[in-house]
Amino acid sequence: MFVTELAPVLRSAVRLEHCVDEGFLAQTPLESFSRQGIDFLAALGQRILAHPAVRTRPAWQAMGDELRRARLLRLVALYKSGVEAAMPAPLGVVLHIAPGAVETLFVQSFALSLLAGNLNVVRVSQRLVEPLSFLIGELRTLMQEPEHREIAARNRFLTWPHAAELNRYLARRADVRMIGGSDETVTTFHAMPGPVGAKEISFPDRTSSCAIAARRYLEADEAQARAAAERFFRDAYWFDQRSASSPRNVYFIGDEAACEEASAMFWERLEHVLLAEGWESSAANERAHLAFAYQQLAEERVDCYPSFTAAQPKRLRLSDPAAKPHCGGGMFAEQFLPSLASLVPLTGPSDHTLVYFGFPREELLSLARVLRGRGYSRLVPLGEANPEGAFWDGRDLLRELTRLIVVR
Amino acid sequence: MEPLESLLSTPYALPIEVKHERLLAELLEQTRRWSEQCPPYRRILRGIGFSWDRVHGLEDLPLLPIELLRRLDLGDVVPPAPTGLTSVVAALLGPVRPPMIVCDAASALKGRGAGTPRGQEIRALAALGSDHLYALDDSLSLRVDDLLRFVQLHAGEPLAIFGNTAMVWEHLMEPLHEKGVRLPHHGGLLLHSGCWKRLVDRAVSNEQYKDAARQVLGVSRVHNLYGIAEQGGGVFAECECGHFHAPAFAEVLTRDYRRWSILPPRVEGVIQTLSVVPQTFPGHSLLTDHLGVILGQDDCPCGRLGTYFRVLAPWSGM
Repeated sequence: MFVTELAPVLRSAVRLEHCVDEGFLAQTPLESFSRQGIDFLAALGQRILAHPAVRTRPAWQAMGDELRRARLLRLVALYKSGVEAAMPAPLGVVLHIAPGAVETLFVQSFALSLLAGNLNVVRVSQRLVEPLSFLIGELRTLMQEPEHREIAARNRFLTWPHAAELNRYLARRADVRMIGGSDETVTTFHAMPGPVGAKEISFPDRTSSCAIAARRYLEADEAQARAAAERFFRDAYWFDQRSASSPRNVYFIGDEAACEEASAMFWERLEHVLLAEGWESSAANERAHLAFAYQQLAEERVDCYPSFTAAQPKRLRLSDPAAKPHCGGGMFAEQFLPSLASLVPLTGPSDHTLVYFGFPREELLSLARVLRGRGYSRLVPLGEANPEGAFWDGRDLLRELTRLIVVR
Repeated sequence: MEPLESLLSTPYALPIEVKHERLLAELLEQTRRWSEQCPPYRRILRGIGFSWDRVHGLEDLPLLPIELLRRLDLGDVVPPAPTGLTSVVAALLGPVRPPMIVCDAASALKGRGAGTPRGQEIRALAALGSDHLYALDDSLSLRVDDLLRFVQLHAGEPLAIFGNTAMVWEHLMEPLHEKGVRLPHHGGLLLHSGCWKRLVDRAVSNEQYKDAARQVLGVSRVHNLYGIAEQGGGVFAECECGHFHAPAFAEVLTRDYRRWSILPPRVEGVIQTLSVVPQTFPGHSLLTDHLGVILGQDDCPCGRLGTYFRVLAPWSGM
């Protein structure tokens, strides 16, 4: 059984206790919003943004942007303005189980937790593919610099094959568990005992969609249509289409003819945007798409799969309109529906964000009223899928990762 | 099957055009058979617009991304009988059957182990040896004394050592090294197969692995074996120049991920492996998750005919 520590020092160990021992766990945390924490995160953001490939990788750009010093300070200011005279303090040791499918979103929860002053043990995916290996490399380099030694002492990035004993060892000692991944992963950790008062923050699989009013889209002028494509690109392709709010389904709403025409124009415009933005796929991504598409064919969810190139947005018209593809990296399921109301039977508790184009807000309000919380906790215009400054899921994670001390 | 037997008996003696012609006929037949017998496979072929008329070369055959073997119900997905591996290893061992050290426990062959792919593989390869030692006990600890006695018994003969890449390192080479024991130089060979991931994680390179093997295990040659378990295991053997060779009954193609088009030699691409060894599922044309480079065909300095290539690190998926 091998545990590999990835940062601050790359090494393998036979036992997890060698990497995360009682000494590590008993350290005094840094204070919330410490200078060391902000310096470290800002330095990490700078390194990410300085990478030559960042221009062609919106997800990395997004990561780097979120870690700019000004952004971090603004987050802290927002936090403080909401808590009056109470003093923020860390919660202690936070265990992060990063979801396998979203290699890089753990950075956000880690960053917020570090900002909060917590000690962090982060388990990342065993598959060290780009961009994860790039990120880990940057973290390791930074953590080995003398000015970040306080941070290095209090944070560990590890990976190990799925093993109940290792998970239990950490779950028992963590004050907070941040579990991302499949419902199965969340359930598994939920069942593990922890210290009294331990907190669990879970991020089960969620999906998001886009609704486009076909006639309105066709009536839009060139500038508006292009802007729509650019907004969709931001919504879908940042975080590699793997965050909870990245649209996976695109619904064209209207009569059949309008939907067909709008669909053709939409995807063509999006392809131009991909080119203009210099977006690049990868061998791993393309393989995933091929395997996904073949699986849909084999399982009779779609009849034909035209061959797309890596430069194109890929879309399938699945025979089951309720199906939500779990693929990422630019694979979409499109449907033609007569009205917004037709979305209701296709929507459930795991639906997160609906971005829309060409509908007045009132229509989305009506939809939300009918749904009554059984799906879509955010119905926002195209371009606003990824909430600014709040990181994951629209939750106020920074609040959840700190406690407030009242002194009178 | 007569055609297969001739492909198996001399794995590196077929010039490339002859080989491709024979493979194409056989693989087309297998594609046809599976499209008739396996509805999901047929649906894929139909859905991608595959046309029987437009198959002029191996690259025109349909492929399956390897993960689909687990995700779909395509038949009995078990590795085929290790005839291919046996043929390749026999070619490496040469005409004289050597004493063989298997880096595994004898129990791998017994009871429940007997029917497993690993058990079948070991049994088939052990049959190529004149004598055998299973170097590990049931808890996979090295039986040092038995090993030394075996080596002594066969003093003067080149030995063949066979095992999984990581196991040979962790359960054979490392324990010997820790005890300060080196096998006397016997000039034989080490054949190892399997995923490099653990060694990559521990920063052990191919060169270091070979050096360690020569020093600690007394071998002159080290041959890495690459291949997909579902296609019969490590049938692509590393030659003396450090190149992997396609045997007569299998082939390797590399593809450009941007359009899945075929790449020429010396350009990195995703490895596709083709095999005519019969299987109980449509596994004759698989897109792996490894990156590789084809170096050439028929002109490797080692003298073996056929396609030769390199597999790029990290050799554990992309």
